[in-house]
Order: sequence, then structure tokens, then C-alpha cells
Amino acid sequence: MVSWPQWLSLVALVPLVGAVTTPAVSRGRSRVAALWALGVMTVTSFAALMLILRVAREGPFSYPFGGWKSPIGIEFRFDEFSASIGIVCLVGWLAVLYSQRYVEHALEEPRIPYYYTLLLLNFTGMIGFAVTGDLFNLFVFMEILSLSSYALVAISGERTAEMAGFKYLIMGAISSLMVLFSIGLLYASTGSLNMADISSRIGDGAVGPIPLAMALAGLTVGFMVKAALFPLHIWLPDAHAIAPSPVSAILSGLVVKTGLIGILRVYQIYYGAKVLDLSSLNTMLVWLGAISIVMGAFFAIFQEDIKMMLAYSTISNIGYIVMGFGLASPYSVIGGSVHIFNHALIKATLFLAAGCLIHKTGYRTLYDLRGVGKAMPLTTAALSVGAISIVGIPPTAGFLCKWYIALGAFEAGQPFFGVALIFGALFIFVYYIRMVNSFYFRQPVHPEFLEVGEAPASMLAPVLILASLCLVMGILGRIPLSFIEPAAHRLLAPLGG
Amino acid sequence: MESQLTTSLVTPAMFLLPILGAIAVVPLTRTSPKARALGLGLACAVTAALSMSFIPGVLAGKIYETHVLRLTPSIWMFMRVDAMGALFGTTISVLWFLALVYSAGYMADEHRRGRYYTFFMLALGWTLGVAYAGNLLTFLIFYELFSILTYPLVVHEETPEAMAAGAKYVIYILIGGSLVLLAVVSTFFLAGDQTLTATGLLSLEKGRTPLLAVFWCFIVGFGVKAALFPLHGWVPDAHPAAPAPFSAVLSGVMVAAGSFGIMRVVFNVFGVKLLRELGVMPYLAGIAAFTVVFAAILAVRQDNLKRRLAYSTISQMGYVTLGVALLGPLATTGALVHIANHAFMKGTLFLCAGLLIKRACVTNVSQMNGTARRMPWTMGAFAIAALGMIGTPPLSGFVSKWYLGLGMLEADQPLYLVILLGGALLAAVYLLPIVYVAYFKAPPATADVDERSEQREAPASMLVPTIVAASLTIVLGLAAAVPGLPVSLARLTATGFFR
Amino acid sequence: MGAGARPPYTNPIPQGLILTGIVVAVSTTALALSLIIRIWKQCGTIEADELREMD
Repeated sequence: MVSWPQWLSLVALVPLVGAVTTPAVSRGRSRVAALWALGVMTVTSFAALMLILRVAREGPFSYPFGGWKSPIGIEFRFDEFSASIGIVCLVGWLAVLYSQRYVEHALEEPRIPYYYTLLLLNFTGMIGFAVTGDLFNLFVFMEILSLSSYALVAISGERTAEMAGFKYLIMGAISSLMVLFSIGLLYASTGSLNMADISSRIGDGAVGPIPLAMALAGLTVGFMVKAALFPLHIWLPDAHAIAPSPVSAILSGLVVKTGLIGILRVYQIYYGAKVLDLSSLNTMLVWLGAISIVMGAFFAIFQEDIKMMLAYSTISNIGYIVMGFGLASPYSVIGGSVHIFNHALIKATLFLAAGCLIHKTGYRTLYDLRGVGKAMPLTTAALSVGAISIVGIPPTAGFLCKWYIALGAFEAGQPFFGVALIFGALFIFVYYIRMVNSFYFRQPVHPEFLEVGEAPASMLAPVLILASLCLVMGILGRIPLSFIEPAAHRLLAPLGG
Repeated sequence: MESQLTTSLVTPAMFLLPILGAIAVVPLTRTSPKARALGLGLACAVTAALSMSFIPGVLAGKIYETHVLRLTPSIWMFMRVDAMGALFGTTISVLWFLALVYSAGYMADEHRRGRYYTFFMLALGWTLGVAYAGNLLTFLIFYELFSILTYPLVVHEETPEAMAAGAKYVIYILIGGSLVLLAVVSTFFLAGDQTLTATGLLSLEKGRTPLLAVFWCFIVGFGVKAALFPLHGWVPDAHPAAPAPFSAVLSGVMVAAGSFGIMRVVFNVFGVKLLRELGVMPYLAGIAAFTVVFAAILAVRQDNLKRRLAYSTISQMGYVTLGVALLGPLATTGALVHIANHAFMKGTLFLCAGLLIKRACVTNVSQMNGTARRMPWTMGAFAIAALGMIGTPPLSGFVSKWYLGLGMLEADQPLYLVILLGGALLAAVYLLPIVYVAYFKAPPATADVDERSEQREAPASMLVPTIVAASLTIVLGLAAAVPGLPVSLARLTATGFFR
Repeated sequence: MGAGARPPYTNPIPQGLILTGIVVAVSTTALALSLIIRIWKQCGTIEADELREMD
């Protein structure tokens, strides 16, 4: 059953069908909608697990739709980077579980089934984006993902949420257009939409450099907006901070990573190109990554709102990953890719735990939340674990990325960026230490919430599971690395070979 | 002597046991404070006994190795007990045990005891991990963990001063930790993941510049922890802010962990031969010598007792670095022995300072007139440790300074003898007046004596560990030649490095 | 393609792409407009300057 290729189509179709049927199935009953969404995610996760097991055993494989072979028909292709759907399913499943109690409070009753529809559509987009082998398909899934994200940001119906969603929509629509134009350009110049096929046609040298360079620029900038890389990050803090907490976890942990996987796909297409020199793109990405790290950390220091702080921290972490890609040495690409997984875990822990605090106390600034460690010890412990992990204290999950990217910087002969990375992490520590201080070591401002107690079990359990994964994935780092190492070496093979 | 490798399952237990203790704090606290005291005391005592159990084997030339965990395909967590590690590990666990027993009395009326004990036990586990780390990555992991996770202990009091001291601590330690990480990454890049052996990992093949950069990264990184001038800024603030038993281990072994790191770098990462070729050690020796004198001069001017002791730690750790920097077998022996001896002497002094705070409300030297009349045992222990610190024979401080002095002559650097003696003289200047006023000055007039300062000696749970630590100062001096005590282990280590 | 078809054919792929692109653009526009309407209902204005002042 493991090698059943239909799983590949099911993994994207199940959440899609589940999404559109949610309102019909639930008919306004929010509890039914939650259970339905959870069931859909369980099936999807099972399919994803089967696919990951297969890619671990046999390497990349594809599934042509309707039996049409690759350059003509549309195909789904599952490689090691596609294994990122594992983290999408894990975090997604936990976020759906978490949402059940959270949205009771945060959303109006009639909106709740649609919330789950949007959530499932969002997962469809992410999963499809990661598994498709067809460039245009990639665009379509990206749009499913983006549209549902805009709506999820705005779903609470408050003025600030709608403004943030609109801002996100404008930025996102522009970037989508750039991606679409670039795909058109690539199709016009190579006559193909299949990514592997385009890559080999570019590698032949039959295509002139100018359309290729334009398409490259469009794709990179488009995905950079989705990934919120400095200076295209301006939509992110509002959108991520104002959205409901489970949505923030998904947006920050997973959705921005789609932009990064997009950048990886661009590399996969272009690394074979002989007419283009990618080193200037690499240089640009490394610098933008470094600036993102510093700017994200710098702005985060001045935030009082806990979710705003976490949102800026996402910008820093995206900087790490992009810097890893840009350094383009095996170690750094491994470090960047592994951080796609680990940052998803860590940031989901942080946002969901912050959500618990907001849900129970009703406050969201560090000042108001002083002393909350006594009232909600488990939640704040999870937040602290997330903080330690994101700063990269060994042996937590965040350490692997720092270690590998710094090593990669030495390997690439650019030790300066290794230094920048390690000292950038210091900045990040400053604001997490502020958070820990205010939770544990400062006198409470609102003593009344000391009575509130922990969040309900269906919210606490996801937080604790994710927090323990933050610790465990550092120690068991070899599991994601066993996927990523071969993929990274294969990606960089045209360069070295 | 050929060393035999033995696989040992005891090594991982060394850091797992205290961590289990830390996990058990919360359920034990729910039961009763007595159960907690017993449980933690047992965990700590077993840890100390296990750490001593390595000594006979190590003296017989055995080295215990354990592959604990594979972190990534290229990185192992790897524990290795050699003579140096066994010496430091035993020092850590014994001092920690004394401080834990002391805590039971000292912390009895403090807030948030559960948090204190949890992090206290965790810190023991991580620090032991540093002592027994077998490769640089393992060293780094434990080093960072114990640096960061002691923050809740530094700010335990939650007063504005403690918070400020904590902020300073964290910033210094993080910058130091980042430099160490950078150095470890570059060593990994230059040499790969290798066991810390007596010969060193790096070689001159890669050119001088990267090696020099790595070396100074390491020294500055560990120097923050080891309180080398000018990186010592956190020490005098953190010590007075922290609870006394934690100050004792902070000064006794955690600052020493920085010196221990420098030793690992000098002997196990670079190796004696390579460093002689690089010619950097005279600079390090100069910095260390300056630290010794500078900190001692500052110590004289401090009125706050714990602050004065903190400066004394900076000065004494300067000796250790100086001994390492001389690159001779005798000086190295002296440096290692001094880590162990200093731990117990400074431990005693801080535990006494804690007793004075708790029982006599005395925090400053100027309030200490006549304290010996009310607290004879406390001040007796204080006097012994103070004399040891100065280097009076036959106390333990003398033994380590003797070796250091011999090492200076051996290295043909008699100038440093002046530093050594000057430091000892200054130690007399900043410690003996305290003893003098405690014994020979009349207690202050009754007007400014409140009710609590009428109290006399502390309960046995606090007094006994203090006295045990003080008597260790005597034993380690009188019985210095007994095999299994620091000198034998340190000589074994030094012979290995300079073979 | 029917049996009687003769060259030149129109390439069906760009047509498919354009159609899909239009669908995507229309749905984006629909979402944008609905957000604008909601903002207008709540704030009474859709002038960016005035909205910024309200924050």
C-alpha cells in the first residue's frame, strides 16, 4: 500500500473536497465542522505519511494525471522537499484541534464552518504547491493558498483585521501577477510547463538569457513577497499578529515557507542553466537574508504586543533560511531546509501558546501579561521552550539551522555571514529574554488573572506536543536531515559537477 | 603509560541523574519539603559518589568513553572521562552537594523554592556534562545550557538589582557563548568532529590566520565565563544578587568552567606543540597576570562582602589562566589543582557570607565588627578559607600556588612570581581585615542592633556544609600527596599533555 | 482534435492558462471588493489617508 501512487493525488484532493463540503456537512453546527475538518486532516496526514515513507525508501517519484506522460500531461511529483507536507499536516492537524475551542471565543458562530473551509483550502494550497511538478499548477495552488490566507486574516471581521487582510491581499496579488507573468515567459521561451522538463531545456542552452533572466527575476521577487523577505515584508507583522492565533501559527509557521519552497523550486529549475550565472542572485539573497535577520530582530525588540513580536521574529527566521539558500553550499542549504521544518514547529508552538494566554487572560502585551507564569505554568513553559529553541540554544531544534548555516558560510568561504548569523541570534535573544522576564520575574499588573488557570485540554495538548517536538527534533535532527541531505546535494550537483 | 579505553554507562547517568532530580522537584514539593530535601539530597549524593567512582580507574590510566546520541549524521554527543574531567567533575558534584544541603536551611524562608531547586539541579547536570564532554560539540551543548539556564538562579530575588545583574549576566554570557559557538563551528570546519585527545585537533596546514582567529574567539568566549579582564563585568554584580548557595557554586565551579574551557582549548584542541609555534601564549599570560593584580586591587576597595569575594574570584581565576598560559607541566598541574582548591575555599567564603546575611543581617565588611563572638563557627570557617586563599601553608591554597610558582620557574618566567606573590599579598589585604574586625573589634553598640542580629549560630543544616567545605581546605592541603586527591589527577593530566 | 482539423491549430495551453488566470484574478478582485465594502461599512470611508488616521 505504501507504494500506491494514488496517494499523491489524494493528498491534495482530500482536503480540497473536505473544504468545499464542510458547510454542507456541518449545516451551521460548529462542532460538527470542527470534527469534520479534523477527520479530513487525519486522512490527509495518513496519505502524507505514506508518501513520505515511500520517498524515504525509493527517492522521488511522480504521478501523471490521466496517464499522460510528463511533458504533455500534468504530473504531481514528490521529492524530498515535498516531504515538507509532513510538517504541514502535523501543524495543520494540531491547529485544527486547537481551533475548536479558540474560535468559539474569537469568532461569531455562523462564520465558524467557513473558517474550517478556509483552513482546509489553505492546507490544500500548501500541499498542492509542494507536490506539483507543473509550473502552472504551482501557480493555481499558490492562489488557492493566498486567497484563503487573505480571508483567514480578515475573518474575525474587526476593522484592524480587515485592514491587515486587505494590505496582505494587495501585496499578495502583485506578487502573484509577477509569478504568473514569469511562468508565461518561461512557457513562451521553452514551450513547456513541466518543471523538470523546463530545467532540462534550459540546461541545453537552447534558450536565450534575456527571457530567462526576466522570468527568474519575476519568480524570485514574487516568492520573496510570499516569504516576507526584507524589504517585501511590510504586510507580514499586521497580518500575522491580528489573525486568530491558530491562523497566525499556520501563516507564520507554514504559509511563508511556501514562498521559500517556491524559491527552492526556482533553484531546481535554474541550477542547470549555463547561460545564466546565479551567483549574483545568491549574493542578493545572502544579503537580504542577513538584513532580514537584523531588521526583524531590531523591530521585534520594540514590540509590546506578544504576537507582534513573534511576527517580527518570523521575518528574522526567514532571513536565516534565505541566507542558507543564498550561500549555496551543501551545509548551508541543508541548514536552511531543515529550518523550514523546525521553524514551523517552533513558531507554531509560540503562536499557539501565545493564543492560550490571550484566550484565557484577554491581554496581549508583555506589560499586561506580567506574572502570568504563575497562573499558566505549562503554557508559559512551552513558550519558554519555544524561545530557547528559536534562539538556537543547543540541543534544541533551532540549533541545527544555526550550526549548519554557520558551517555552510565557512564552507562557502564567506565566514562573515556566519558571524552575522550567530550575532544576529543575540539580538533575537534580547526580546525573548524580555518575554521570559515579564512572565516569570516581574510583579503582575493584573493580579485578577492569576486565578484563570490553564487553557482547556484541546488547546493545551497541541501546545505541549509542539513544545516537546521543539526539544526532541534537535536531538533527533537526523530524521529530517536524512531527507534533506540527499536532496540538497542533488540540488547543488550541477554547480559542483 | 598507555591509556585504555573503556565504555561506561555511568557517564550519561552523571547528567541524567540531576536532571531527573530536577524533574522530580515539582511532585516532591507537592508531597512535603522534607521529601524534596531527601530526594534531591539523595540524587546529588549519588551523583557525587559516582563522580568519585571514576577516580581509581582514571588513576590506573583508564579513559571512559560513551557515545550518547547521534544528533545529526555528522554530529555525535560523546562523553569521555579523562583525568582532567574526573578532577573537575568530582569538584563540581561535591561542592554542589554541600551547597544543596546548605540551601535547605538558607532557602527555607525564600519564595519560589520549587523553581530554585529545579534550576539548581539542572545546572548541576549541565555543568557535569561540561566536565565529561568528549568532543567540542558536546562541550558546547552543555556549556550553553548551563550558561543560559542559570539565569533564573541569578535573578531569583526578583529585586531591581537582581534583574539588572541578571540582564548584565545574560548579555555577557550570550556574547561569550556566541563566540564559543563561532569558534566551535570553525574548528569543526577545519578539523571535523573529533574526540578531545591529549594531542590537539588542529594543525598548521590551514595557515596561521584562521588558527589565530579561532584561538582568540575561544579565549574571549570562555574568558567571559572565566572572568578574564576586561570581560569580567558580570561577576561582581551577579554574585551579590544571587542566593548565597548559588553564589558559592557560581564562583566555585561555574566561573571555573570557563577556565576549564580554556584548558580544553589549549591542550585538547590546539595542543601544546601547535601553540608554541603560534606564539600566542605570552599575550594570554600577560592578560591573566593583569587580571590577577587588577581584580585584587579592586577587591580591596569593596565594602559589600559578596562583591569583594566576587573580585577575589576574578583574581584567583586569573591564576588558573596564567598557569595554563605558561605551557609547562608544573604550571598546568598548579592551575588544575587550583581550580579544585579554589572551589572549596571560595565555596566556604560564600557560604559564610550567606550565614552572615541570614543570621546577622550583615552584608557589608564595615558591619562585621565582632561577628566572631556571636558566630564563632562561621567565622572560624571563614578564617580558614581566607588563610587558604592567601596561600598559607599547609592549607590547600598553598599547594596550588606552590606548583604555580614552580611552574613559573620551570618556564623561566620569574617575573610572574612577583605577580603570584603580589596577588597573594593583596588577598591578605582584602581578606585578613575582615577576619581581624570579626575577632578583635567590639560589636556595634546596641542602638543599631535589631532583633534578628541578636541571633547566634545558624542551624546545623547550614553550618555543617560550611564547616565541611572549610575542612576540605585543610585536608586538601595536608594530604595533598594522597593518590586520588587533586594533585595526583592534575599531575597525571599534565604528564599526558606534555609527553 | 477532430479528424478533419488542419493546421495551423491554436495552441490550447495558453488559452487554458489565460482562462485560469482570469478566474484567479476575478476571485481575488471579488475578495478585495468584499473587504473594501466591509471596511467602508465599519469606517465610513475608503480613503487610505483617512483610514490611516483612524489607527
